[in-house]
Amino acid sequence: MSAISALPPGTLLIAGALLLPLLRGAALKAWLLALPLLSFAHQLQAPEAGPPLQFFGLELVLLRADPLALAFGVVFHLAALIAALYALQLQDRMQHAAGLLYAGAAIAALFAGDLITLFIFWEFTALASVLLIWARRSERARHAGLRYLVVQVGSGVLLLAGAALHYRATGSLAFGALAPQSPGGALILLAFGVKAAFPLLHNWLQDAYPEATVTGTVFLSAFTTKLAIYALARGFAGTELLIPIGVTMTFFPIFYAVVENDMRRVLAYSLNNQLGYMVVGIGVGTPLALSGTVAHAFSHIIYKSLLFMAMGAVLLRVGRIGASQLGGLYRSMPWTTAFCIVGAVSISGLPLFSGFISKSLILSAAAEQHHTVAWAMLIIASAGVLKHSGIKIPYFAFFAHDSGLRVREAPLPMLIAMGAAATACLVIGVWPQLLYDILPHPVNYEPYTAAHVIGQLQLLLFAALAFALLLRFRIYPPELRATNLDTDWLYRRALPAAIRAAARAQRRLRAAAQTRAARLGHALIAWLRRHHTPPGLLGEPWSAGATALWAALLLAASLLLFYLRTAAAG
Amino acid sequence: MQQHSGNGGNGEQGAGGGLDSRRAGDWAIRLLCAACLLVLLLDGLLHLFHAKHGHFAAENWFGFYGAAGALSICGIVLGGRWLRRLVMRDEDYYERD
Repeated sequence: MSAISALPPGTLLIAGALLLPLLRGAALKAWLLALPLLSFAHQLQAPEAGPPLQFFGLELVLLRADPLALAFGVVFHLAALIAALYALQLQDRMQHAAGLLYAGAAIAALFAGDLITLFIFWEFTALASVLLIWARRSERARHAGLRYLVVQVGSGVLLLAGAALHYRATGSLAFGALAPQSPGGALILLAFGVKAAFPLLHNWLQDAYPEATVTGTVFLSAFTTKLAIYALARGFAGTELLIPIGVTMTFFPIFYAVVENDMRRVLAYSLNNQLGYMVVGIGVGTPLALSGTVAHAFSHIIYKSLLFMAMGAVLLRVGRIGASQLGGLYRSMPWTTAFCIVGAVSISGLPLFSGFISKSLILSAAAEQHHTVAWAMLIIASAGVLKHSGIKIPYFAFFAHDSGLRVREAPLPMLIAMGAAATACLVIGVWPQLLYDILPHPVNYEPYTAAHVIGQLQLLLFAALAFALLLRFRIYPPELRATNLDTDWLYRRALPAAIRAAARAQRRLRAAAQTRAARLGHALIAWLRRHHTPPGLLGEPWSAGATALWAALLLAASLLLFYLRTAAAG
Repeated sequence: MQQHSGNGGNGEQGAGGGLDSRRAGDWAIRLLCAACLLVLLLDGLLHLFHAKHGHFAAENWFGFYGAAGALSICGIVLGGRWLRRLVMRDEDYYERD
């Protein structure tokens, strides 16, 4: 085994990305595209397991290439290549390096055989990805990046603490199936849940992703959350608690997507909703459900990247991304419009596109296991997906009304990247077996039955008609430039307000205490002064007679006490 | 909260002949109605030939998925309108000190 093949895939990407700042012009572009391909070649020849590494008495396994890791590895490399292509015209070498470092760390994390190696690459993804937010170089992005970093690093700290407790309880650091009931397992589940954007832990995603750069959001959409999905699939497959969590994830973001004006934030809510399907699949935990989760992650990474790329192209050309500020862009950006529509129908699950053949695996698995409520909720959420990503995104950006915007089409590398992603959506949709063949469990499932196709078409067409009529009769809420409160309100408004209130209360208490102490001090000084200065009792010189009288009284009292004590002893 | 003039979200489309015109919107609704009727017809055929084998009985009802899609969208949009009343603030809400 060569030294390189003993390293986990992704490390080549990390090492190569460090060279990017040294390159210029065509060499930079060539290296940018070659790196994901070289790294993928590295994955193809990776052995099933690398040699264990001794580290402070712990045995670390940097490389464990099983079917689950390999399947995610394929789509992570594809996403890295598409994102690198999309970013090709960019002059910012720091962003190029950050993007590929991030992708490399996420890929390396997939192959981690133990919790410490996973933790190291887990935190590496956080550090590299925040640079893609800060690269926007705006005050908003700086703040959003800081909040993102705190959450991501916090997730890593939870993972490390969980790993320590797990090690103490079991004596093993191997990253395999974990017990969510144990303290260590619970902390690790929480760490994964933060990165997978579980309900109430989710808002870092909608807060940070729309603030990243045009190309940065494309990278971000692919890796962090799907790494968490991979980790959940490995550690907590079949944990039934994940079913209600996943259903909630599919459900609440669709309401936010109705009212959100920022198109990239709509996509971030949509991303959260799609993660819900995967979490349900992990919770169901059967081989079909787990393969469905991997398949849906695969499809999702590509069509979500495509949608973020289309909205990124609009942001690049128009300079803004609010639905209320766009419209009619199909005239200026016909190719971007067409690619965006492919992404939109893919995420909606239209037959012949990727979402159809992947999401149905999860729905079938839920139905087979008689999770009736979860299944029904996922059906409703499917209509919601059509509304927010299938219709809202392309409709308000490219059609709706003529906003008068006349801009140039997206740059050629961006169009090629979008074209490649759109082609992948179509290829997977038409030939699902290509995807099913790389899934961790064999899939014996035929998505193209007459009942399934007609049922899905019915769902989508009636949902689209309902949307069109609601819009026509002005029941659909208008797009408004506004801020919608979510759980980030807790740490952006409530927590600072609580800290300020506590600080004010502390200041008031201190001031009150100081005033009271000062008053007491003054009173004491005044009392002493009154008695120690003329005409106070101790302030005047006493006469010799008075002094003799006081001395006699003291002596008498002393004698009396002595007598009483002697009598008591006798 | 600022509303953009001529907002497509209100269904205010131009009167021109483009794909973003009101006429195109009307055509889209007609096409969707026709497509919905067609899939309902196909669903009826499946029903006749007993070709539906859903896991749940409801899946085999005539027009189940159509009703689910339309009702879901109505519920989601109405839910969104309610949510907006609850959570919407000015655009610079977090920037204001």
